[in-house]
Amino acid sequence: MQNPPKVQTGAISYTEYDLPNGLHVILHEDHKAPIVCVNIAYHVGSKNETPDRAGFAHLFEHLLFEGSTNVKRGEFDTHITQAGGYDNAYTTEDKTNYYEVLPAHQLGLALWLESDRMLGFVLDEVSLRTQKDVVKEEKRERYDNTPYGSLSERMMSLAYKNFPYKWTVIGDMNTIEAATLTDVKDFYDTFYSPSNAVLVLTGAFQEADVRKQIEEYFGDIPAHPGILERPIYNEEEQLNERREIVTTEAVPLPGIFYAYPMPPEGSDEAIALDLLTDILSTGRSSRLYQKLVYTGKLASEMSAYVDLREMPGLLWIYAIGNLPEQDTMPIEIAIEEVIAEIRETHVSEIELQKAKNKTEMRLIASRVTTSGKADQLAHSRVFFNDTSKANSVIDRYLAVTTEDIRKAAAKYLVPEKRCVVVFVPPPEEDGDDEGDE
Amino acid sequence: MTTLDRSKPPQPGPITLIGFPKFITTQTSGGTPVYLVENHGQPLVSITLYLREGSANDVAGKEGRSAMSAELLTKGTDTRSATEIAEAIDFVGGSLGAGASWDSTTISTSVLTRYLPTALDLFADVALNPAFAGAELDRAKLQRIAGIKQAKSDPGYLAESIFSRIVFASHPYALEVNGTEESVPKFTSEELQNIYKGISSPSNSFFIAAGDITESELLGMIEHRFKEWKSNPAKSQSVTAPPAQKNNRVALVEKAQAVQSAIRVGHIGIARDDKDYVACYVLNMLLGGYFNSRINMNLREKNGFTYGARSFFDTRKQTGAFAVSTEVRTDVTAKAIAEIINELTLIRKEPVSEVELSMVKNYIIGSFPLSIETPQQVAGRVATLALYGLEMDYYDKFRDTVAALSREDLLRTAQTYIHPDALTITASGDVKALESDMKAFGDVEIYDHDLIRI
Repeated sequence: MQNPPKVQTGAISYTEYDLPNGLHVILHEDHKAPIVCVNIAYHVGSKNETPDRAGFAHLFEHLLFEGSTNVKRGEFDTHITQAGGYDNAYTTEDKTNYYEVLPAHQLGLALWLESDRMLGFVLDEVSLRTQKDVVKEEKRERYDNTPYGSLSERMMSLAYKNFPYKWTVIGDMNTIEAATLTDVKDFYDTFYSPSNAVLVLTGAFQEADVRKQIEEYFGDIPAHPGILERPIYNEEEQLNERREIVTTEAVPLPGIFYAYPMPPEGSDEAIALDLLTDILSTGRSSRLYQKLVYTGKLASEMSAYVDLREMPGLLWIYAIGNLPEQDTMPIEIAIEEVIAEIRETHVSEIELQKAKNKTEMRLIASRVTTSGKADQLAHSRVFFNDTSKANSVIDRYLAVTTEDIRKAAAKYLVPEKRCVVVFVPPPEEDGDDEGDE
Repeated sequence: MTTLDRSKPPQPGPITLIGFPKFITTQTSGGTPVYLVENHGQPLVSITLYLREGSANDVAGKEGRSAMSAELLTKGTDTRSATEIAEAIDFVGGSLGAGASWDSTTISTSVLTRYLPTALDLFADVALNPAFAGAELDRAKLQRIAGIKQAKSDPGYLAESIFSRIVFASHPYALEVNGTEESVPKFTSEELQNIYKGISSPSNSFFIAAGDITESELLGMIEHRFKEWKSNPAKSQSVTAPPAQKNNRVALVEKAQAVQSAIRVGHIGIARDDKDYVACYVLNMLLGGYFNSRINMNLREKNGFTYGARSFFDTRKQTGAFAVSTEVRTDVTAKAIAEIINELTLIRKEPVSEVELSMVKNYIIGSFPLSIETPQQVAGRVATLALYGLEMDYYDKFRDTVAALSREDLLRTAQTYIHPDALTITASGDVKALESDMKAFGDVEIYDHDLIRI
């Protein structure tokens, strides 16, 4: 097969430097739209929690909107919306990201707000009480009251026996409730120091001006007093399949969920496995769609995707059946047949090229917006300590061979190494039996 | 260098005023309008064909037929099988889709510029020569029914379905847009094909494109692929808007193992082309449209009942609904509904404060540039203008229209369009735990998880 034409890869230009207090700054000046994004990623997530405070990093993210030295409770969002902007934040196992998108002339406002909460954080019991309730409702809405909603909790405790990936980012009701104001202060002192953060600005600004502003707002923020220790990866290799079967009337149709431990984000093998999930399930010509949904008519939906993490993450495959009473075994057999073929023979060059084209489209699309670019730059720096990987990643995907994919599948996607959660609805019966929970 | 005063926010810099981006309005030689938002920032192109008829043409017993007809468009043509279409579009990393909403049926593709000809060949083929093969329909039915079963375990879906059924009564907007477990198995290839034939016409549609393409390239590419498209008298179903309710209607839907209640509270609203649309939009933003809105601040930040609460006017070609929507833990369901009703009552009683009004105006006007950052976002807005017959300078004037609204305008708007004494109140959750408290709002109707009244 001929090499595909060399293409524009949507690289993001940037400059970067450190402030003396260790805050890493990345700037991408771009005047296509009169918009700026301020993005701060702190290198802390749920894997930095202790088991008795599972969910704390995410609760803390909520609390950080509750007030700082010069910004009273409730004012953060008001300032941003009044300036015509929006703000949000998210927490993963590995990082916590805060961002504001604003009309360009309001850039100073975001720098003021973000620097104020890095400099000094103020919290009272009312805020803590309210945000515990809000986070518990978030957990109920997104997990507990959702079909298959207990999946991630069950799968994490199957897949990880030691490492703090064994609980979920949202945590559980008891450990959320257990948080105290002292915990909050300790966490802030340990993880919210300038040297544990990356500040990214993208959009319509003049770099020389903005460097001065950043120096003013962030330059005099001292290091926080806490001592940061990062968890060491300590999972043992999985030698036998781990499986849990859940019968619950909360699910309407049987669901089969596989998770295979896989190497960390950014490794060659993770890149090959990411492309493999496209071959397996992206688009209606993909292998699992064809086998499970189209030809086999065994499943109403299916997907394969990588849950990439800073430490070893998971490659997921799932399928949802068509009928409540359906036997799940034929679905499992079909999935394993598809995977076995991938382990044993090369995927076609055409399939690989298709997956590369999809990936290129996805990566370019993720860089269309000012905030998308900021997120990519911050992520690369936090995860790899190397911003340039945001740009080199596309070429690394394009360099994967069919043998890379076969080898990675043979190494990781074997039945002994998978974790399985199967949800089945209870047998149909009339009456109004109460569930167990 | 002066010392930084951190005690108050900095003054904003000089503002860059931007207008709504220019877009090109042209047409094919057959007279079909074509809109283009040209932007060469990224090597991407998106094209959508809008047919001006959608699920509002469904009838009771045949609900979901428009959606199913649209879904089959990409599942095979006279010369390409479903898998061949999927292979071809997947290979170029693009997307090709079709779907129906209440007011339109769309076919769309999005692809890297260098693969646009391939994508457009497929796009035109599914638009002009869909096969509606029986085997594909059988597969689609199986998946659709599984999707409906899945939806019935979603409390938001359950609360929403009963809400629409009560609010819209005999109007088609009351129907399940994706069909029911009863309606879907009965669809035939022939009737779905006839649905599509009835709405596919160059005289009742328009194209909209965004991204890395010029006007002449676009017209050239559409023109020769659609030259065989025959005009067809459109058969739009005309149904009068549903009447407003006189009293509260209260309904509960059982959800197994619920730990929260999904709540909908509201009534009939307005159509998209209503003269008071912008006033309703601003009023709603203040009431429940953004984070700082009254309802979210009350239910989330003051009471901690919920992760979020919002309200909206769901505007359509004909009169849509006004609704407040939230999910709260079971034991505060009635309290949360009472707080919602308080907010709806208060907004009609007293004019909003100057501060509140200027806050919401600042937000809407200030954030406008953020909502038109990408060519696809701009194209979405242009499509709204074209679909609902709004003035083409609507978005040029939008910020001035917002700025001109007074506290009295909003009070009058609230008194005209918000009716806390004639609400439809639905909640999906633990019926046994909710039933007695809900009686405070009116007689309670109860539905099972199959949406059947018991």
